Amino acid sequence: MAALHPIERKTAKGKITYWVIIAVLCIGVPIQIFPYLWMVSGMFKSNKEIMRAIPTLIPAAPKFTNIPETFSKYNLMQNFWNTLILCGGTILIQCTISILAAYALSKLKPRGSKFVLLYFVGTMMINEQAIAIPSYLMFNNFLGTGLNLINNFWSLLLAFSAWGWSIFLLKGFFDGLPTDLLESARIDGAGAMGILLRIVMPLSKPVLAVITLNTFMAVYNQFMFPLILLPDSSKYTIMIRIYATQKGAATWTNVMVLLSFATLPVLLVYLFAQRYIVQGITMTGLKG
Amino acid sequence: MTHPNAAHPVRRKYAAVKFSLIGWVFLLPALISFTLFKYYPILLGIIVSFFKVDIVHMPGAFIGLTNYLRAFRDHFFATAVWNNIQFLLIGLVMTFWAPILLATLVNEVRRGKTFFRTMYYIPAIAPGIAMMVLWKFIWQPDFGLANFIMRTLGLKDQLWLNDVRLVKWCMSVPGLIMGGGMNMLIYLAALQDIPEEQHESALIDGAGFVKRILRISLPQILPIITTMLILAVISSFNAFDNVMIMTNGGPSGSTETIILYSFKQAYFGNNDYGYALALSTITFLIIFILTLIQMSLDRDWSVERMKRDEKRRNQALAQSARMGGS
Repeated sequence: MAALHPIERKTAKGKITYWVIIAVLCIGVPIQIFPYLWMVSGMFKSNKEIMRAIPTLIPAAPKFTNIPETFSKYNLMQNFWNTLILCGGTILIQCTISILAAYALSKLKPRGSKFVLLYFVGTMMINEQAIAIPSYLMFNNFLGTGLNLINNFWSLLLAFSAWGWSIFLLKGFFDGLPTDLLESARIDGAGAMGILLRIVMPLSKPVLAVITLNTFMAVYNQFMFPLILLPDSSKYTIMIRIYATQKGAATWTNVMVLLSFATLPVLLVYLFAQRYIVQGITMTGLKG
Repeated sequence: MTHPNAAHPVRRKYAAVKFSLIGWVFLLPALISFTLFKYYPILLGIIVSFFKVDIVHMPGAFIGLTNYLRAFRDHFFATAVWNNIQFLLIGLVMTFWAPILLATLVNEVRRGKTFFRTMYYIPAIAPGIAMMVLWKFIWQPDFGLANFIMRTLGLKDQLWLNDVRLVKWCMSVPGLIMGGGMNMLIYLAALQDIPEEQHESALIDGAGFVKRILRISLPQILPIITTMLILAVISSFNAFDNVMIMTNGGPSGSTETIILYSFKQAYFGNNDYGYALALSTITFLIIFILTLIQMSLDRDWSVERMKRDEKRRNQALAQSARMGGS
């Protein structure tokens, strides 16, 4: 609870303290938002204007053609499409794997599975930066079969299919579901799969939303893995496109268009589903 | 576990075995995936670090500890380690305290708490990569915003990211906004859990507002602060994206981190995977130990609290599910 007590707020000293706090928070908001306005304003400037020594916040002559120009110059639709495939694919594969495993660990509890949760959650101790290069070596000659999955979306989809955080979260939620309900379904003759699909999943909509959204965010923001596993420019994700563009001789207006459009999907997702993203963070105290 | 056929021992045993089998079938995809794409790569990395890797004829020639011995003599590596430590210390000075302060302030708001929470959180959700590039633009010496502000204030222009002394400080500024919102939520959730009576009794004892924050609020969230501190250490040893994008290790190696240096050994035509993996294995070991410490600290303080919270949250979630609140 708040440290400032309601009664205290009636006193002059309490009032001053309270309004100082509000004032400080109000000053912070524009500072927090400003870089984004700066990014959007840069998107509509001409090449000359964006490099002026005295910058302008509102473009003198808004140049909307920057947007189609950037899209065609860098083949952005392709990059968005690649990102979408990877996000969608990972959500399908990773979430399915995690749901099945968490359900088994929480409700089916097969004999000898006590340490399996630890096996999954233990992978959270492995930093992805340490397995990025070995993953490259592995997919270069997948399991000694001679199959080269570099520049193939499957390499990334498979690498992202294991996520301890999501099993951890799901298992915790499934544990809270009433066992009686599942037992009675079992008496009615439902199999393990039937119970999962018809009872557990409908009851778990909120946590499934948390998992889906956090998976989306994690894949969308990924940098090191796509950089290493998908080095061909036709396979670039949006983030790799940003990196490659700003490293090269691109004009800053193009870069600003790129940045703004890369931020847009995340912003939209957040506006429609902020509750679930926030829950994901506060439920585990982890960012995944 | 009760079962419809509980009365019949043979059938009960059969059913238990059947469910056990299905359980393992459900676990199988995850077991395969975690083994192949988490444990196998980390083991491969450790093994390969003892080889002079030949990518065509994996793994190549065994050379024992040569890669590790080389790392200890490599002054570029020593610089990278020192850079990582400096990044950590600068991050603690520049950004670590901000979300704690912010959460404390937002927690005091009576009306409009959601507004402030959202306003401070939204900037944190923007893709990190995009924000790093945006800040690279802001720090740009010729036409960047930072130098414009310096000039407006009557100060001298700076080279920012091209200045060996300033570059690490400049790079930690975006973290103030980006990490701030995210971590604020975690602190805020903890602050809201503090029972009102504690503040009340301190108030009766005559403790002022600041004193109550320092004596009651902070000690209550101290375990979370400790966890966050360890997470900050972990992420600073993992630093790659920001240095790769904002400076590529420059100017004159002043932002080269261990992971970036390791990456450069493997790519850009060097193809020295063995040495690269020896370096990343060193970071893995550091982070592994830190994570173990974090997890044991976490367990010490929070098993009871987590159990309570989890139950409450799950109940709330289950309830909203029943009401069709998706």
